[in-house]
Amino acid sequence: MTIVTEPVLDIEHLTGGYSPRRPVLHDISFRVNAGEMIGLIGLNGAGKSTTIKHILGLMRPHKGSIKVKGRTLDEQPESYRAAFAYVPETPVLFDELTVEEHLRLTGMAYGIGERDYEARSAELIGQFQMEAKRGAFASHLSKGMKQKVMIMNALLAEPALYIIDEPFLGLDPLGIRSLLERLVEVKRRGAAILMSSHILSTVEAYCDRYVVLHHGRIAAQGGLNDIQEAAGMRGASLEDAFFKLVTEGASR
Amino acid sequence: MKRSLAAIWNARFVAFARETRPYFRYMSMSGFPAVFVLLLIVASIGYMQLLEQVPADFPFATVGVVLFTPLVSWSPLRTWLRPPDIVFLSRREAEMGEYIAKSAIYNLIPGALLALIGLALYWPIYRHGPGMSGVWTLAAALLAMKAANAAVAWQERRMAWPAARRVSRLLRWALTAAAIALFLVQKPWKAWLFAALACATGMLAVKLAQRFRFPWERLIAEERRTIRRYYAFFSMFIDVPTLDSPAAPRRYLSWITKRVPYRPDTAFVYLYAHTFIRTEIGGIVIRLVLVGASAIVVFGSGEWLGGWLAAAVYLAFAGMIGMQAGTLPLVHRHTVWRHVYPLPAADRIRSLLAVDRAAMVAASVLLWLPAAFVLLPQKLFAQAFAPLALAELYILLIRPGRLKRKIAAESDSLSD
Repeated sequence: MTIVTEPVLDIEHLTGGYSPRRPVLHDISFRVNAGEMIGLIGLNGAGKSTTIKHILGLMRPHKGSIKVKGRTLDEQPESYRAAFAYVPETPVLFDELTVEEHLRLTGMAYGIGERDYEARSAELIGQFQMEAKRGAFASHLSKGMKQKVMIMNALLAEPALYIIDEPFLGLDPLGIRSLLERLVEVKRRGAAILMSSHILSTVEAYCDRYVVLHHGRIAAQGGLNDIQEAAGMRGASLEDAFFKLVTEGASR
Repeated sequence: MKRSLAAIWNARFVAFARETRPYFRYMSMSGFPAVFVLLLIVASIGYMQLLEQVPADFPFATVGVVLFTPLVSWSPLRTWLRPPDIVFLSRREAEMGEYIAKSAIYNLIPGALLALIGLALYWPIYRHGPGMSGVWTLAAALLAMKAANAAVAWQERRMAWPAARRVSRLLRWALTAAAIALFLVQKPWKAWLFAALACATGMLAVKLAQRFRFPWERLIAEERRTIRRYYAFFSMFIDVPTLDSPAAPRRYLSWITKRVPYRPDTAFVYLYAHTFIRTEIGGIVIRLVLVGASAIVVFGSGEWLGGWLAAAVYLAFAGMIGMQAGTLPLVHRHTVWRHVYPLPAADRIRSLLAVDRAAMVAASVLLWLPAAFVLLPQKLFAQAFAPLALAELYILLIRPGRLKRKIAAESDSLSD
């Protein structure tokens, strides 16, 4: 039996969506523990982004609760938000700030000491090959570089929880490798990571557990064995099991 | 069936007119037209006074060059082109001549009319001076130079390298200014000769630069900038959809943002200070300060209305700057980041007010310096200090409350 510790992210019986009459998510429950990377997978429209929006507090649950480090957004909005960093699917950067100024703003907002900020930002800029672009404005960056800036911001904050939505789109191979290396490292140091992605081979290789969403419900969750079992395909790859789960209808 | 490009142009023009019509209505319902008419009346009084007795040492040529150079050289081009056109219209690039011709005419006619209106205002003054050109000569010269500028400006848009474009534009403005000066002070035939040579040089010079067949990206960027300016203007009167403004670095002002201390409670100050300085808001405020400062110098030194005209101009420009600066709260209201940052909402409002106050005090003092420069030596103390005192009282006592209410109303409408 495992020791019960408080999960970093705890979603219980979440039902939600844009309109109370037509929920998009139905009774979603899962947890992300410290030192764990969870893959959130599903087809387009399965509810991955809606789930993430609920965690961010951009949408309100119709039913159920979401806790980050044991707190809900309503109880303690500031410490709730300070506990995670979010990398959106589409990079949102301020047009009027340079790469370096984005990092500085993040450092100020998360209350990172100025010394730490200097050291971490220099390291991140180096690791993500952005030295030549540190003074560039967002409008002069390619999609992949913008994504790098978002990722660097998240990593700079060193939060307890990372929420990463489809991070590999537009990243070059070096960028993908740097990101995965850093994620493994922050995980080892005890961070929790919730990552949504369509690149199932990467998800399979790096995540500890998986949550398969289909039509707004959890079709399966757990380790690779659990997903294979739910799909009735022992020994299959995550991709094959996932394919079977979403083409034959959701079953618990 | 393929739609003709002329039909597409027409449809886009109609769509733009329809889209902006309500905003023009809001603008007309605000106090803006009244202020504008008031300024117009004040300016025409000054103009009449000047006409009654034009001083012998009036700088005829300088005023003419300053007036006509921008009227003739500035060659905007509305093309209504948008990013998807690179995919959908670019295959019809060969036919785009017809499309651009419509744009050229659309901009050239009002441009030419403005130049002629400028001449109608300038001619009664010029008559008193030593100039040798007749009114018809000047009219013909202005129209010819306007057309030549538009043609060269089109070639500039086609240039592949930004540096070449900038050099060419600078040269075009300089040659135009020189030609105008010659028309105002020299025998007309000499001026015509110079203008013809300048025009030929320009036409040949643009051929040297590497050019695109059709400058899609340039035109799309220009169109986007124009539309943004419209909306930046409308946003002074009413909420506009979105103000996505690409940044101008304005590195000469970066010493200001560098002074924001590195602390959690100044994060929003750091953001909004950059927003103010680098977006269109700062751009327009800087331009208003410059134009206002020149207007104050012009009206202050003539001792018009005993110096009170300069004071009125100061307040009018300070008011316009205030309206423009007041659009700062609208900039980041839809950004996801705002919800992600672990900062209390009160910090945001406090920071907005702090940035607004600093910017307004700085702008109002900068705008006051030329007033002080021209009014104080004439011992017009009340005229110099009263408007400054009024402006600062407003900025420090009345404006914060108003802005706060505006932000509160704004977040109410967003929290549903």
